[in-house]
Amino acid sequence: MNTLGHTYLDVSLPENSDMPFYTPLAASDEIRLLYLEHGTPEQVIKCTIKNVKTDVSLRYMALSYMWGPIVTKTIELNGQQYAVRENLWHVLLRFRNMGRSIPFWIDAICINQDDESERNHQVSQMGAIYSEAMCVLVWLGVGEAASSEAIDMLNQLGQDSPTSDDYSSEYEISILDELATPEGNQRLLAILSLCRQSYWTRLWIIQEILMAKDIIICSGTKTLEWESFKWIFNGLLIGVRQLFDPMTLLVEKRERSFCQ
Amino acid sequence: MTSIPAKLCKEQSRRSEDKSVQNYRSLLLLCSEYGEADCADVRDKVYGLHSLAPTCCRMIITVDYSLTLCQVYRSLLHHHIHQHSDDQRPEKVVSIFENLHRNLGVGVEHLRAHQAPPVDSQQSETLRSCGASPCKCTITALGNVDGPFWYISHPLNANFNCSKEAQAVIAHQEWPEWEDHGFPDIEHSSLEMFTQALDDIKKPIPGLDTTEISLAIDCEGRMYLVPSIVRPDDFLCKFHSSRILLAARYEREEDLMSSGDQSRMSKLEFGQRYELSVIGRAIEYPLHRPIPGETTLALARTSEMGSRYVSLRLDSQALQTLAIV
Repeated sequence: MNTLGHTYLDVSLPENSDMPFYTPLAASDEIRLLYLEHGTPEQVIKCTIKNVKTDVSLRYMALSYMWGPIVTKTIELNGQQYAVRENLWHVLLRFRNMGRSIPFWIDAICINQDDESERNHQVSQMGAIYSEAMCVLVWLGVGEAASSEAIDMLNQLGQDSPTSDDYSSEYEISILDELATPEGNQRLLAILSLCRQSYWTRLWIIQEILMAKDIIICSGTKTLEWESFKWIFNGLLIGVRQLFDPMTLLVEKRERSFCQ
Repeated sequence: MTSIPAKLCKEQSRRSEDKSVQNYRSLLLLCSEYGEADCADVRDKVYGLHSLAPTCCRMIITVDYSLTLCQVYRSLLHHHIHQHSDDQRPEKVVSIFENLHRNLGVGVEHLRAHQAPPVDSQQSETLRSCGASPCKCTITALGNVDGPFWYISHPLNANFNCSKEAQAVIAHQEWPEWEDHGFPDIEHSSLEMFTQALDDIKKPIPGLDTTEISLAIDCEGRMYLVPSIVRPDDFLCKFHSSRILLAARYEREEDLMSSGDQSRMSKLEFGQRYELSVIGRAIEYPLHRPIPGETTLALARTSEMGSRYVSLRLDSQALQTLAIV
């Protein structure tokens, strides 16, 4: 089935041009949403797109990702063969069996890229599309070991950390003490690798993230809430700076010996 | 340098706390700050940040993929200069525009090739309806002033005569005591050495039309390429966090005459702020000499001690000279 799909693609579907399933967007408040069907790993990814009116009750997730290299895979869209780039194919594969079937908004599919006037209008509406989505899914890629490790660590911290009201310096010190060990160094490197994913170098992601109500970061099978990700810059880096600041160390030592 | 994830975390927090943050930065300022990020189509450096801009920017600079990059750039510039001229700190103006031009890849030759009217008729209609006149708007930039120049050569065109020019340099009055910055030391050099130096400069510079350009030498022997209309009594302006240099003129000659001071260096007193008018861009010669980042910072720092500050009113034409050379 898959092999057949690829052959078919090579012959006649170089750019998905003039696909009949793009019903023109009728009104300025209309968008297209993508509905994913459940499936087993061997089955071709099947989905449908529908034009819907945007209103406050509309629930969907907006995808923030990079298009990536022009390596295509075939999916079935509204019953027809359709070529998507590999990175997007992995996203669809990852989320097709998500319990609730919440539709997606994905630029490459939901905008008819060949229709310039539609593209003009949809690009100018992207702020609204991302800010009205119930959540923006940040897709960092299929996930390499270091990123997974970093996400695990940040999730762990998110669970352990006391609520912001009683965020004690004692807790901070315990984390920093741990980071000063060789194992901790490894974790710092993992966090660095998470922040250096090529996703972050893309321009479009800036407004996609800044307009979002709620953000979930996904890397392979791992997920991380934005609030936990933010800790890297709010807590961790401030802590690391203190860790290497001789004055802080001095004060800290004195305080500790005082307590003892 | 802040990494993108760090910038996003900070900005995301600001925006979730205060919705009005959206109104603080024009689309042009956003392009200057975030436009370093990658995208397939350069116009997306503007359109891809569109949603983050205040309503006025989104109304005037509409997403339209039928426009060229140059047209998009011009409407961005004209809207900013008319509606957001006070949105940035004056000492940051030059570096903001330097970043903008680098991010959008707008070079001097790029602008020269598109001599189309700066604003199309529809745009100027919109501008007029906003209550702004379509010209004469300026943005004030602050920097430090250096100079004046010591010597300005004839234009580097076909009539440029190296040996005549070398004689003129030697015959030039008021030799300063200069350090070795590239140009031969006057006291210990021969006519041939000067001729040789000028011969090098005369060689064609790729991508630069030198017919209207002259060589300028400052009082420390540093060399610059400047527009030929620059005069020896013009000044060199430097800006914080930017490698851009501008040649500028102090128009109020009578002030200088009445000061009674004959020394040109002291024409502009230290610790004072002067308003100068921009003549054009000055480019350090030899071109592309690697200047480490600290040099610009060092310039700003050392000059704080005995600095003469400059305030420049940059109109849209002057802002466009801050393009990539």
